[in-house]
Amino acid sequence: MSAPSDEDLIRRIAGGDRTAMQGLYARHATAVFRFLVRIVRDPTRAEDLMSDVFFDVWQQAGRFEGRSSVTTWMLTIARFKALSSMRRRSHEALEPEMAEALEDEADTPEVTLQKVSKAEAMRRCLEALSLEHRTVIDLVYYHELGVEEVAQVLDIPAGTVKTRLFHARKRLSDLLVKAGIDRGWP
Amino acid sequence: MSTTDPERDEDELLLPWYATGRLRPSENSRIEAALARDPELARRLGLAEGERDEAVAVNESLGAPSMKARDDLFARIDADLAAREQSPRGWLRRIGERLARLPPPMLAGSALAACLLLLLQAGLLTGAWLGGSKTTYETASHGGSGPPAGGAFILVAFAPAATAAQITEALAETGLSIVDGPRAGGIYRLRLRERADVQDNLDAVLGRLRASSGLVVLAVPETAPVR
Repeated sequence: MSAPSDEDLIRRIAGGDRTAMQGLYARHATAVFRFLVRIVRDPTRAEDLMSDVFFDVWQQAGRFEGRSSVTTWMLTIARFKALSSMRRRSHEALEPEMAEALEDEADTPEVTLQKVSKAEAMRRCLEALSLEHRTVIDLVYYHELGVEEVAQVLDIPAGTVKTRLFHARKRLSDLLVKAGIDRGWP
Repeated sequence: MSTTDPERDEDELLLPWYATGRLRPSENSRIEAALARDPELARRLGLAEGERDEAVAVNESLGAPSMKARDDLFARIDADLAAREQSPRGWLRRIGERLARLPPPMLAGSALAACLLLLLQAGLLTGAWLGGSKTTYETASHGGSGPPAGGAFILVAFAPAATAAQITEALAETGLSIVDGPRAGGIYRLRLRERADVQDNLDAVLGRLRASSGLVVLAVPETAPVR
C-alpha cells in the first residue's frame, strides 16, 4: 500500500485524526524546523515556532483548500510566524544590517577563508547572506520549490522571485570574490 | 544576465530551478536546448548546481527538532482533542458515530420512531395553537381579551365571608363577569352580558346580588366608565 499523500493526511487531520498528524509531522518537521532556524538563527526558538506551525496546521486543516501544496502552506505559516516573532523582538528588526556585519566580518579575515575549501567558503557565504537572500536561496535549493510556490510563500510575484534569486546569487558571488574565490560570474 | 538577448537572460534566471528539477516541461525542454548550444550557459549551470549542493549541506547541518518539541506539540494536540470532546460538536460527533455503528434494520427503526415522535409533537403543538385551549384562570385586571366593547357595568364589593364557590355560582347565574379589580376598598368592576333589555336586566341582577345572603356588601350600577 502506498503512503498517503500530504493532502490525504490533511483531510484526516481536519477530522481530528491524531495518527495522520503524527504522519505529517514525521514527514515535514525537520524541513520546517530548518527553515525556521535559518530565519531566526536560534534552534530553541525555532522549535517553539515549529510547534506553533504544526498546531496551526492541526487546528486549521479544515480550511486547507488545496490551492497550494501542503509544503508551501506550512512554509508560508512558518515564515509568517518567524517574522512576527522577530518583529516582537525589536532588536532583531535590524537583522539585515546584522547580515552586513557578518559579511564585513567575512571580508576581513579573507586569508582565513582562502585557507578553507571552496565548499566551506560557499557555506560561510551562504550563512552571511541577508535574510531575504538566504530565504529565497533555501526555498529554491533546499526545499526545492518551484517559481510559483516560492512566490506564494514569500507573497511576491513570480517575476520578483526570479530576480530576487538572481540578486541573491550575485551577492553570493561578491562575497566569494571577497573570500578569494572568483567564479567568473556574473 | 544583462545580455542583449532577453530569452537567454530568462534561461539564466531559470537555471537554479533546472538544477532542482522544478521547471515546467516546456521550460525544461527550452533550457536543455539552450544548454546544448551555449557552453557558457552550461558552465553557469555548474555554478548553480554548486550553490544547490552547499545550500543543502548548510541546511542539513542544522540538525532536527528534539523529541521534547515533538512531545510538547502532541501534548497540546491531546489537550485540544479533549476540549473538542467536551464541546457540543464533540457530543454530536459521538452520537453520529454511535448511530453509524447500528445495523441497518435498527437504524431504520430508530429513524422511523424519531419521525413518529416528531409528527406527534407537531400535531400536539398545532392542535394547541389552533384549538385555542380554554384557560382555567385569568386575572381580572389582565384579561387577554381586552376591555369589553359593550353591556352594562356594575361595581361590587364582595362580603369578606363570601366563598369563591358562592361568587362563581352567582356570576354564572346572573351572566356577570369580572373585568377589573380589585380596586381600592376591594371593589370589582363587573360586566353584564349584552342584551336588548339591558336596563331591566341590570336592575334584576343588582336585586339578586343584594338579596344573596352574605355575598356582597355593595352592588351599584356604574354611572360612567371608570378606568
